[in-house]
Amino acid sequence: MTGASGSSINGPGGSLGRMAHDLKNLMGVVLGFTEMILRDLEPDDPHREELLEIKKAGEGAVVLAARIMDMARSQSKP
Amino acid sequence: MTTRLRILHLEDEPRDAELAQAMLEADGLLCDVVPVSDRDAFVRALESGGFDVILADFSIPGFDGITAQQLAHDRRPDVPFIFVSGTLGEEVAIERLKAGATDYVLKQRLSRLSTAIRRALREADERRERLRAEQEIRRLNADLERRVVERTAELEATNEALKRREAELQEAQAILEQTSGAKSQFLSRMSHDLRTPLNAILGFAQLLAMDALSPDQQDNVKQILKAGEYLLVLIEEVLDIARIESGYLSLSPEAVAVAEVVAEVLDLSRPLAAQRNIVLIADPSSSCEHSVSADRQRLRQILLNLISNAVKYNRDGGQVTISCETNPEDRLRIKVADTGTGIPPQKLALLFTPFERLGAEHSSIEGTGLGLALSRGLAAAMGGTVDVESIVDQGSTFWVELVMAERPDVQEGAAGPAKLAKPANVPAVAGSVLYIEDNLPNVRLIERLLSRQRPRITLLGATSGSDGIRLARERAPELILLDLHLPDISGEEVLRMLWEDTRTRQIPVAILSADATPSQVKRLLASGASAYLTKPLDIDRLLRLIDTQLNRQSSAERQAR
Repeated sequence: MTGASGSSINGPGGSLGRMAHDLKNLMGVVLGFTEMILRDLEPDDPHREELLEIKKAGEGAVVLAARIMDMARSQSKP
Repeated sequence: MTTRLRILHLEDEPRDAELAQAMLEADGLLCDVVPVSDRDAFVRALESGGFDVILADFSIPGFDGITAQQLAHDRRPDVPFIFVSGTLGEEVAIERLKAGATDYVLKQRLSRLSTAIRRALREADERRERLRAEQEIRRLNADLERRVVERTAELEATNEALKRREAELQEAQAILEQTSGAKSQFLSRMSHDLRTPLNAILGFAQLLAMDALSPDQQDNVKQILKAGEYLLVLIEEVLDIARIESGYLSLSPEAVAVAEVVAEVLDLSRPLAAQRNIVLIADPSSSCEHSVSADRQRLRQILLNLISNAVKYNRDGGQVTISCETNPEDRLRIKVADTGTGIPPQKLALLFTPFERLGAEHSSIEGTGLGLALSRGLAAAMGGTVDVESIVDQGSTFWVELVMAERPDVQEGAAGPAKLAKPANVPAVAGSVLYIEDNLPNVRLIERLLSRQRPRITLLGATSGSDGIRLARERAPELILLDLHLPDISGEEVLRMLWEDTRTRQIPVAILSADATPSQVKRLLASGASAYLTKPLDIDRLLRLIDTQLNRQSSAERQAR
């Protein structure tokens, strides 16, 4: 687990950057499925609330992922 | 002494000078007398130097003894100066002696001259010796003083340097503590920040999954749950690796009975293995009855990773065998052998690289690509190793090797949080539950859950510790759900205050937290908490807990009546 193998925590190729990348991608998946269910539901369906909570949390996670990716990128600079 | 004395003799009468020399030699004083008869010659002789004694007549035409004495004193103060005169009166003689002359000898008593010279020389020697001794003492004193000053300065400099060094060390220590503190703070902050949205997503998705949705919608909810769970694992693994790399992984090492942990992990892995008809075998003939020094939770994590890999990368209907062997250095190797396709030698080294999945990322086999890197890091942090041997087409054997321990620490059986009574026949439970939590999506989740699943329960919400304590005293709920991260006082403190107050002591408190450490959980249970639930919440388990506690409360009330 050293920098030589490009596997250290920092940097865009490091674990944090990779994690943020996966987080962002998978949150896309979560938000996609959520959107699909929301479209299916009647406007007054009681489940909308849960789905909107998921959507809000997912969007928050995407913002966080983007921030971590920025940080990973800035740390890799000499 | 065979050295001849050199005597300067100021005398205008040559015969007197010769006589003086003859007298001295007769008395056994070997000497060379240099006679001078006028002022100029006298001064020249004084300036050329090299005389042991100066003899001087008192009355010389055009010159006089007083001036001669002055001249000699100015130029050769250390050389004995003796007047040799026929005319020197006693008064003048005393005056001259006071002015520094060494002696005086009357010409008519010249026989005294050798004695006078000998005494003068002895005295001069003594004086010189005294002076030399005094000078030596002065020199020694000065030297001593200089050395004291030097040594003091040296000591001060050393002291100063030591002080400086100490200050530097303190500064370095402070920076180090700050950095490492900041790093660990950063990591735990990041863990919290990342888990908060995931917990909300998983909670609400579980809630959705409980409801009657269309099969399509159910399927979509399952995908959401799967993504969320995967991300939770990923985040934990990455942060664990970060903790190991920054040296900030906290471990609770103890003597762990290997057979126990192996049995637990095998039980956990059986459902996954059964899906593909893979048999899990613990080799009974091996040495798994030993104990190793390890953090129980982390050892379980490593074994779970190795066994789930052995299942995931096995062939359908394959086999996974767990065995142990001791080695001479008092280490125990726990081996996990599979019957998979094996790994070519050139790829073995890549196995332990984070995110390296050797092509499995293109297959249907799930995984973060962090498990082995993390397992190896965890083992190293516990003073052990994780490694592998593999034969292509026959299978791989992964092992974790740890230091053996004397005997297992006594285990309190299943840990407290799992010790929940079986749920009674419920949904009719009624009463009030107080949830002390500042994260609003979490509060809404419980709100929704109860309104759907346990409509007769009233949920009381408090977003701070002090509000929570106030509500607990005023409303005496049947159960308190307590988060550990509160904006005003810590959850641990809230628990302590509830326990100390007779009005609230009997109310069961369940801790709901995303990131309590095992030792924290132990402490909380010891200080009165009745259960610990980790976030993301397992909705079924939470409902069981609520049912059990509310039933117990109401039956206790019935008994009390």
